[in-house]
Amino acid sequence: MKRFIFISFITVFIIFALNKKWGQVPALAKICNPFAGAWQNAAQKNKNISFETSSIKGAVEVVFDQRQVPHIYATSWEDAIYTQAYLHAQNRLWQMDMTTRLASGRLSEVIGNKTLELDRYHRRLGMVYGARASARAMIDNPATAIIIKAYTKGINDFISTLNKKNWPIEFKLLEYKPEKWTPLKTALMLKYMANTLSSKTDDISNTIAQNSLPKEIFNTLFPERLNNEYPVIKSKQIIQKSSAKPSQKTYPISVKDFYVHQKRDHSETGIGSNNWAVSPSKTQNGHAILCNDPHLPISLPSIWYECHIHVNDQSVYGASLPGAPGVIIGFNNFISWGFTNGYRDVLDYYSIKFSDSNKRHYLLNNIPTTFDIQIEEIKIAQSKSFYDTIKFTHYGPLLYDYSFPNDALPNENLAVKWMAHKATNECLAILGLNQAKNYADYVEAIKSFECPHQNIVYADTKGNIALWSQGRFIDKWPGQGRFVMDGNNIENDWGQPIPFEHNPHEKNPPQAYVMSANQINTDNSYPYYYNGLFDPSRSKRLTSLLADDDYTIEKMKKIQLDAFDQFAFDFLNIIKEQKPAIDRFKENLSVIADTNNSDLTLIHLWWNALEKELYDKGQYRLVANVNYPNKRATLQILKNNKINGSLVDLLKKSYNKALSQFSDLEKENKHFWHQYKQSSLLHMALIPAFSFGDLKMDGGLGMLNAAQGKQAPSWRMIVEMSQPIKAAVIYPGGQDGNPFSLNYKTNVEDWRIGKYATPQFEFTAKEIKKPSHTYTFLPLK
Amino acid sequence: MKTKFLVITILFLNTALQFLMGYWWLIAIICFTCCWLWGQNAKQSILAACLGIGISWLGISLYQDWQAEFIISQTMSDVIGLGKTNLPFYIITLCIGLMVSSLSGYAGFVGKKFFLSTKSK
Repeated sequence: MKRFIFISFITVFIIFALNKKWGQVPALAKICNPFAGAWQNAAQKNKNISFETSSIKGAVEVVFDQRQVPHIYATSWEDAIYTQAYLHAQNRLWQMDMTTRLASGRLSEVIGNKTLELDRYHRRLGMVYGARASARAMIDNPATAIIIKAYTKGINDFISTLNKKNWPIEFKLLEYKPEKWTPLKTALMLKYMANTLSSKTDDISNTIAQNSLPKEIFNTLFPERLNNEYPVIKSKQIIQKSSAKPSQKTYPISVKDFYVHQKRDHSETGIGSNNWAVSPSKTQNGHAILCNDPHLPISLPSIWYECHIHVNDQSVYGASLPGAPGVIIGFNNFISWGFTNGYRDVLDYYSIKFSDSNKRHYLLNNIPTTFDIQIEEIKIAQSKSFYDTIKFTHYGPLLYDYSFPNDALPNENLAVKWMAHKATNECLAILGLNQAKNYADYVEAIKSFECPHQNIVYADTKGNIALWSQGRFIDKWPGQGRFVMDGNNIENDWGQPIPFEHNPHEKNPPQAYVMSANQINTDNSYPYYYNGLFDPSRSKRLTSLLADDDYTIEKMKKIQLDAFDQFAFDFLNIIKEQKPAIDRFKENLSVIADTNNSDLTLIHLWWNALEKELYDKGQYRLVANVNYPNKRATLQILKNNKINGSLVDLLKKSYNKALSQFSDLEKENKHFWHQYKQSSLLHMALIPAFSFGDLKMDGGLGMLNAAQGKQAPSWRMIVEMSQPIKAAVIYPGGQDGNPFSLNYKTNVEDWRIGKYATPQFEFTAKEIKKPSHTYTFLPLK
Repeated sequence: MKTKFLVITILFLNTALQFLMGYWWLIAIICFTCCWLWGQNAKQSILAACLGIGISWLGISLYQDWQAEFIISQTMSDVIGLGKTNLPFYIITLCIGLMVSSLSGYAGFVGKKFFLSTKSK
């Protein structure tokens, strides 16, 4: 008997241990089980399949080409979008689930305590609050309602085919099950993009800097406009505008509140999208050419899913966003369009004062006003739920307070007002662009694109080119929103929106091209005030490269892959002007960001050392939590030799420091540019086995090919608006989100070395060359 | 003959039930029950349980991995931190299968023995 009990006990104990998740380590036996674990995640074989469903009205044929791009042929947009949703879910379900969890502050439910602060941040920022408003707007609009319902149905129909053994591997590793899709999740997906592209501001850093620096120094380091800029919109904007309200006083914040925090960043870090279009007069074949390479934090599975939708006589091709319907960036048989982030500040902070000890009221024009209070339950895996109290003010949610203090301003209660809180309907804009046939349709479509601010480039088969700096903006008084504002004074609230027609734009300008590279939007003639995190580094280079003629797709590829470091070039020019007698100075340093260029590593180490010398001590010393000034502002200081003492000494000192760091790297053989900039393509859950570290590729931040760290061109697209349309596209990743699929990383190598694919933009399914397999969706009779 | 029967029964039952339900711990119930019912001695029970589950698990693993051009074993070995090679994930899978099946098969046989001895008393 003893033996029986002992053996049985040991067996049960081992089963229990192998069946349990231990912290982040998944239940080993569940994962190893050949019948339901990881072994069952072999990618689906490419075979022809026919589905019958009551969710569509007409037959839909999907032909997959050799790159596994689906070509969806349908008789209605509703059916086409249903099919697109089904394919999104089939290939990217976990990615969609994870992104919406991140956006809605529900990561802790599956990851645990580790992500609690991130969840709290997203909830307090009002992501769900904004998404709910947008989901309502999508459902209330008949055009988007039908599409959103079809999209939701498509995903849920796919989910209903799943059982535990064919859940995507990440669900198995994290041990949670896929849940039903809703229109709110699509809205969250779009708000997530708004968060990535428009929630970063330097209001807090500016406030600290302004309160801690003499006015003259503040203006030198943080000028509202940099010199010699190349704005997005070059044409003069003829706009009659009523006079703005006078400037309000900036809210003073005591500098003694700051505690030491050494981390310092550049506000413009990570910015790098480009788009441009050239008129037929500048191209070899006499057709307009449009190019776009939006830079985003890249990851695996890729942000984008390449897709072709054909409905009746209209085709649209391009990058779709799993979780949202339609093609986000692409072309149809009449027009092409692309995006770069506009970076106008659409998120402002208001300092809130509680009016009672219970912290249930705040002062608004000195009148105690009640907060709208919402208790949020944040479920945590393997732990008790956390309850957070979110207080809504007249402006928006209280993001930071005593229970969730801001690192830089720990004693301030900061409410946030953000354009993404509004009931915007970007889905309508995307569908409008997908179906647009001319410039008027494009303008009508982009009216609904309100947040984030985007520079939307346009070209059509008739030879027109255009660019709108589009978003919903507020007519602000000068300086409004550049700093934290006093929330007690309602005068600081946002005023009226700027009329859509007054948004900066140009069509067929005299220079025969339009372009944007995240730089400032307009010159000083634009009558409305705005501020933002503009990055001028690439616009200068792009302007010089677009001065040529006879452009072709091949020539455009070279521009997208350009790895000339304009910033390093300008920096070295200033140094040459100063002629410092530096010992061991390397002459003729190369500023081309080739993977094996080590000169560029030295230049950037030098720059970093120089910034530290300049801003962590001495004349321009910045207090903690103030970001470094824009690199161009620092270059201006160097150029004008505005350094107390000797600039040459500063250059020498920083050069010697950099040289010593460089020698250390050289000893370890880690001094090459690709090792310094560390381009990587990581899996969303940061699982190393599903990721790529140190991708040896050219380019870097501040260059047109802005690949550095986790930032890189997420979708390279060149479209010649001929008949038929010619295009070249590539993105990092593959169509299938399954890490065990051969199509998980199909494009990574081509993308890394700068090769492009040629999309098949055919009007009938039969014309698709070398089809891999087909899906047929038939309406259930 | 009896051993062959036991192996085939375990293999068949495990494959069928796991395809239907997918719970890995079914191997314990199957081995325990089969060895209780048909196990003749400890050695035979352990051997039959190991062979039945081992063949079933290895067969399905190999088939699935072959379908995915052997990416699964390679990547999962890497996920577990044992390098980008195929073998470790197979070894871990088999170790789990064999350990649980042999223990539960043995427990089944010992249980039967104890039950019969109690009954005869």
